[in-house]
Amino acid sequence: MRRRSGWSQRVVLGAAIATLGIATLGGCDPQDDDARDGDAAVPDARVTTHPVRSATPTREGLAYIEGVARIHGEADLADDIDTRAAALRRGLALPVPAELAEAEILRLELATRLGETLAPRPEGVAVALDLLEPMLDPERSLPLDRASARALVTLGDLATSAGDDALAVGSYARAIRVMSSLRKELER
Amino acid sequence: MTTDHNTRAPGEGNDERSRIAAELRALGEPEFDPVLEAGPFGAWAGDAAVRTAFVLAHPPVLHADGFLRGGLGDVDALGELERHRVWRKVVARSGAAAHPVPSPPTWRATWVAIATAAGLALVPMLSSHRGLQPSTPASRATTAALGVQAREALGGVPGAQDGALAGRIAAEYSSRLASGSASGRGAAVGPGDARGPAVEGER
Repeated sequence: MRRRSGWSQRVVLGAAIATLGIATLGGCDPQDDDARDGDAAVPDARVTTHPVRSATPTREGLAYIEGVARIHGEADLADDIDTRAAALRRGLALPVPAELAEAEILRLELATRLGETLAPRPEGVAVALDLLEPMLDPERSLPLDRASARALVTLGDLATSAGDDALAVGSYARAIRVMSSLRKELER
Repeated sequence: MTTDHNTRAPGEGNDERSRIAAELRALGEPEFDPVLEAGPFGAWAGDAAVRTAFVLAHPPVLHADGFLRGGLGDVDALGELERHRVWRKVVARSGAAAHPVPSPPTWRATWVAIATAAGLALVPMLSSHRGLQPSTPASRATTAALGVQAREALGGVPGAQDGALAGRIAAEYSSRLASGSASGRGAAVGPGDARGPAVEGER
């Protein structure tokens, strides 16, 4: 009995080592190494912001803003996650009129709410991250507005759920910086 | 035993560690727990914990020249002794993780090894898909603390959101359309709205 137990352990261990070898080879894609530079694990807390300054108002601009307000109203009335998420996706798909600075904030709010809506779903975190991460890329300038900080906090929460501590820490730190800048501006 | 945790350059040698230990002793501060150096805190987790703890203690400040200083940007300028102190505070908050975990029974060792090996093998595959990094208790604790701080900062400037914000922007925009003017929307919409110059900050 003891001898059989030792044999089965060796079989399992051998299988595990083989699996480990195959998995490691599969994970060692040189292109992946190129894509992830040495700082990939370090939180990126860079923040660049810009003021929101509207151009001359247009009827198209007003129609867009009112359309987004209607979308939020539909989402408020939705009974389930799917209906709410569908409404918010329609909002993000609305064509944005040229030079409508307010659209940047409204789209951030839509994406943030969609991310918060999807987060409770098992697959929702990854979808929400795919949506918010590019919009809040550290390389991009964000509108100096509370909406940017709210979106960054949501991104941090999503990253925490996904186990991506570097992204979470960077997002939270950036949110704090945006709010610090905003407070300074409001106190002027 | 004289030890410390040098999160910036662990291989710099014993001279630096001895110097830090001597400085700590001269200041009457406790020395570092040797268990932690070989414990669950990897180099990345330690560095991230130091960075986040430093940000919590030193929030970024917007200076008159328009640039943001402090926070993560200044962590790299910390001396070894300062990094050691911040790290020790991190560990003090993570008391549970500071105690060594007892070895599992021998009959379970093989299975633990297999599970660990499988977990390690999955990390690079998952990372290539989603950019995941392994979490430790220390990094999770500091991430959670920073999340609380971010939420507090957000709550410090109340403002409308979602439908309420869109409605307010629509009302303000409609008013401007009626008068045919162009302007920033900060003054008309209220707290939490953008005004002023662009602000840049580097980590």
